[in-house]
Amino acid sequence: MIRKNISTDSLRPINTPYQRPHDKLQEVVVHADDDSDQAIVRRAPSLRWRRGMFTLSVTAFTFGILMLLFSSPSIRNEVLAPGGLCSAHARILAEKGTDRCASCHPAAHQSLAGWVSTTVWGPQANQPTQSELCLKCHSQSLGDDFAMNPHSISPATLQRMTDAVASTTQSQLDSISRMPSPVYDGKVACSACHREHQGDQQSLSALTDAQCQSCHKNAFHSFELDHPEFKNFPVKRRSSIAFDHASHFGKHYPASKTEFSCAQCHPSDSGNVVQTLAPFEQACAQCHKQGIETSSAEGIALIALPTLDVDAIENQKASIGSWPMAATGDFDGPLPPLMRILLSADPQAAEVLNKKDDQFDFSDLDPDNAADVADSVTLVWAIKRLMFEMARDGEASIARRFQVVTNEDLDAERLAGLVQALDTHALRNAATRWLPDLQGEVGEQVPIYNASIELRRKFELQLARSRDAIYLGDSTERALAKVISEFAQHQNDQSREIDGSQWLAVNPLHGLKQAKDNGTGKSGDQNEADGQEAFTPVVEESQVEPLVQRPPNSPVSDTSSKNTPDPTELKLPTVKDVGAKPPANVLARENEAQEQSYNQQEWAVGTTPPQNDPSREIDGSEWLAVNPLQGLKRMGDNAKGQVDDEDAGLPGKEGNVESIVQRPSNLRSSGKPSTNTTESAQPKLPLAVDNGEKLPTKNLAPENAAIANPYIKQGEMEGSEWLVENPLAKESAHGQTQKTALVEEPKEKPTVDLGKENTSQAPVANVQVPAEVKWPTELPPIKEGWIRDDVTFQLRYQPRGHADPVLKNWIDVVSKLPQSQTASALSPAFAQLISREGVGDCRRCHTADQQDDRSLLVNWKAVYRNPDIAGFTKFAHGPHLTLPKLRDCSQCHQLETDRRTFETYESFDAGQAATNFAPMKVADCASCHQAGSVSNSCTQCHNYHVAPEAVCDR
Amino acid sequence: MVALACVVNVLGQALWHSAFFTGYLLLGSFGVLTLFGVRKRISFIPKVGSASFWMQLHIYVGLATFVMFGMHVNWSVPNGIFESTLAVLFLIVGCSGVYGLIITRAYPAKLTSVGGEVVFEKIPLERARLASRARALILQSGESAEVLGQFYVNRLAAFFEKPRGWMYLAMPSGRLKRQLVSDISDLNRYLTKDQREVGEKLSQIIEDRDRLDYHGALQGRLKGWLFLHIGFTYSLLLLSIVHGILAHAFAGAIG
Repeated sequence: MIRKNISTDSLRPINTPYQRPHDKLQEVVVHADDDSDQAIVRRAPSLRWRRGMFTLSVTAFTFGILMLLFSSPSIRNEVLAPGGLCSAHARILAEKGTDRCASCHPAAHQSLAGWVSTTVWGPQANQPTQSELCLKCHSQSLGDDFAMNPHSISPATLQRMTDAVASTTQSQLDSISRMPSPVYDGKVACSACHREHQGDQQSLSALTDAQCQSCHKNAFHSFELDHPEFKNFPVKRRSSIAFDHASHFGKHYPASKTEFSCAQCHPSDSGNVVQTLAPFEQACAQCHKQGIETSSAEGIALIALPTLDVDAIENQKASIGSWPMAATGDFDGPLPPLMRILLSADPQAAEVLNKKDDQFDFSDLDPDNAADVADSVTLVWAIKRLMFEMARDGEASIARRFQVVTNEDLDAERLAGLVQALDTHALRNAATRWLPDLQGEVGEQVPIYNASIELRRKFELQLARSRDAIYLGDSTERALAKVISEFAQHQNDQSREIDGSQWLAVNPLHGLKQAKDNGTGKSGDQNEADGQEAFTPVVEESQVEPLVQRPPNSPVSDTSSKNTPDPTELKLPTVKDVGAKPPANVLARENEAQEQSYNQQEWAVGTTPPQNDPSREIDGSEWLAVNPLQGLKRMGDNAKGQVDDEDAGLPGKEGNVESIVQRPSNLRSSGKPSTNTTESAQPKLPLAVDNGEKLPTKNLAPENAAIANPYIKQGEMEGSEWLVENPLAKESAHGQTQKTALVEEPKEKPTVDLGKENTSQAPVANVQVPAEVKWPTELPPIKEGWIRDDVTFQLRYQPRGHADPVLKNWIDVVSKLPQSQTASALSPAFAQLISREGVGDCRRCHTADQQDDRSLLVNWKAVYRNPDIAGFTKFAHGPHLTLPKLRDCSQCHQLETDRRTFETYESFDAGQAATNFAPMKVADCASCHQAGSVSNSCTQCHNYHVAPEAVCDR
Repeated sequence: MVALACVVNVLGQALWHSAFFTGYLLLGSFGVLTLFGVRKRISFIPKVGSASFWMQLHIYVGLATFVMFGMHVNWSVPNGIFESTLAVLFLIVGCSGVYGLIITRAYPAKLTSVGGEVVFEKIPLERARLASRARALILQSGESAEVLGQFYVNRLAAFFEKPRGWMYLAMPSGRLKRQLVSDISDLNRYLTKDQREVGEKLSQIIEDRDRLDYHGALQGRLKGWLFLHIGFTYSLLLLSIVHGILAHAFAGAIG
């Protein structure tokens, strides 16, 4: 192109060259004579023109290269990358090839126009930020909530910590409101500190001291020169376990002639990072195990029925409905602290309890004082409502009552605690055993609480999670799905299962009523139509009828009931019913011995040993209702020949079984005996054991079996056993009284399709148990440790030494009640469980910290520090212990025997740093960590990203 | 520059990306520097400052961009292809500017010291005249000056008729001149007195030619550095703008 512009040579005067700055061409002399004024010149491109063309060419070349780049994304990403990635990112993103940029940069998939748009108008609203893309991978370690907040903790926590530091030191930290500009809305972009594309040799996590001091205005020149002095380092707070190193070192170990060795209780962890604390069995059990077992020997009562002076109550013309005869006499019996809490949720009971002191006992009531008697009646009905609700709703009822008392929702943790701390089966079992008429008496008074329904759902989730943790060892989601599917399967299989809420729905006296109806030729429906049915039968009448143990003179006998289970067994399923192994523990034997002793006392009254007589056969609900002494009275009544079988078993009618048998005073007033034979007056006492072994009746001769367990009647048995043959059927067939009823194990568990009956039998009047309230039907056996004591009418738990999970959960539940230290309803439970003298001696060693809401948090773990959870300060023992002089622990941890610590452990203030060791000094560390020696940078000992768990008070 | 360093330091401590700050400063500086060329093209417009002012401004801002660039890349070598290219372009333009600044201050004195004054565009004419004068001098000496004629044909013709090579333009020196003058002096023993005068005149012409070549070499440099300085300026501007767009689009700040 340039050559085209070159003109042919021409002869021109040399003094007038064709030269102008902006001319594209200029004249170049080719030949000139020295003596001539003219020269041969050639027109050629000027220098300026050449420069312009060069500039244009370079610019056009550059532009062309850029266009080529932008048209090829793969090449573009490679060329535009500002530098190599760090090795970790490079390794992870290598498989993505040229598309790896999009892993971190939302703009990687945009065009040039998109980039210009982003530059001019900012990123699109729906476009994730780069930090959000970072958290796609790093949220697992940083969490989702506060990952981009300073130190990855909540602003409130950071502000609280900042204020705390500022109040105690001269440190100048910027408050969150005055954070540097890169902090937008309290958040810091990841790239503010982590600058990528510096090559594979860079440390992406390396921070400079200047970066730290962008917020920490109190600039330190170096660690060894002006770092603030440690404050009680390394003891930021008292230890979780109340332990006096000084006394153990100077007193206890020498007394036991044992060498005091640090490593015995503080072995290194697997990572050689921290010195952990050895488990209880290794470090403490040798000296403390026996004391713990002794302290928990009495157990802890959840429910207890008080002894009532029914005469005094009757004298005041008050009514308490049915009540176990064995629990009558003079007013007596304390309210277990936990029961007191539950009763406090009942407004009427709360009004009474608020008038009483913390140590209220029924023996404090004056039977001649009308107000005291009225209070007792109020409490009795409250107890009945409590037990009915417990039986119907299980743990949900207790959770609801806790919520009412504390006026706050139970969080998931406490719900989980209740799941672990309760035994639904034991609750229902106790209620149906002791107060079988609850449905009729208080069923309509206790509504279905929406709170309970909601809590039930939560319980199911918590139960699923706990099962997951205990059994499956699997991910929570999978375990939850599995357990829920199990629940659904069980609920669909109703032919083999009975919902717990239905136990009470089966009216224990219904069978008797049906017997009567059968005798009169009426059906249950007809009775309902007659307005005589106070209870709604849940079990279909055709099934119930042959199972009901009728009076011997019943005109109707039904032989079709062979091999059909006793419906009362449905109310009282026992360990065997659900397939669990009968616990052969000492408690069972004790209960058995206790029961036999009790029997002997009864026989000593002068009655004859019980004879097997079907006429005495009433359904199991009567066992508790029958006053053992009532039989004696009946004997007298029988002598008068006053028998009204027709009235027997008609609830709500004077002279029926319920009113007569369960209320001796009524019996006395009516003067009607319940049976027509003297044998029917056999004293009946409650079975003492349900979670224990079966009473040894099976292998005894019938007479001996009856002696051994007089409460087992013909055709009737403990709840754990099932009839093979209906004794009534035999009686009917043989036309004579069945003398014996051997209890045999069923070869196959009988089933009753209650669910079907429920749906087919309408209307359901009193049983208002919606599907939401139903508990999963496959109930576990009574958990080990739970005791339903039918002698003292207590449902209590016997802790099993150290780290008993149930006791721990109860302590957790009670400790987290914010008013537990002051409210009168809660203070007894607090004294029983939380005080240092409480059951199990738990709090003697495990400290409790008061929370902001005044609740307590018991420190069950000896060491909460997890080396995998990053705190503000990090320290690894391992590298230090490689130095010979530091292998002696006392080099850094100097024991000061005159430091007393137990006073601080008794307090609930966790902020008190109780230690027997002298605090460490900066100089101790700075002897090595200084300029020119071991690193003295901020990040040598401090983390920036702090796990939220690390900044809690522990 | 000290103030700028302090600002960058403050920004760095405040967790800011100071590269954005220095980048915008650089881009603005490029604009100011480019305006110098615009100013030269709109010289007819008054009140935009004298060319000298713009020249001084161009020089100082240009020198400041080196510091800005150092801060921008954190005094490290960029390792991305695009950014490395951009850095190379900056260095070409910047360093050529510094070179131009140096030679425009140093070469006039050198040219003055060697004597003579010639317009760069007239150097070919002068060179042609010197060659013609030398040729005429030999021709005038006739056949009697066979030795001189032979020497002219063998040594001086190429010297006078052709421009100096790239080596001389890169490193101008008087070694060839001295060699030729020395050789003529060595011929004196074979020359007559008249011929010796012709030889002396030839030596003078050789010195004039060498001086002219020296002028040409230095004045060529004074004009040649602009090829780099201006030639890559627009590429640098183009890539800098693209770099800024990319930096914003790919920035990791919270949006």
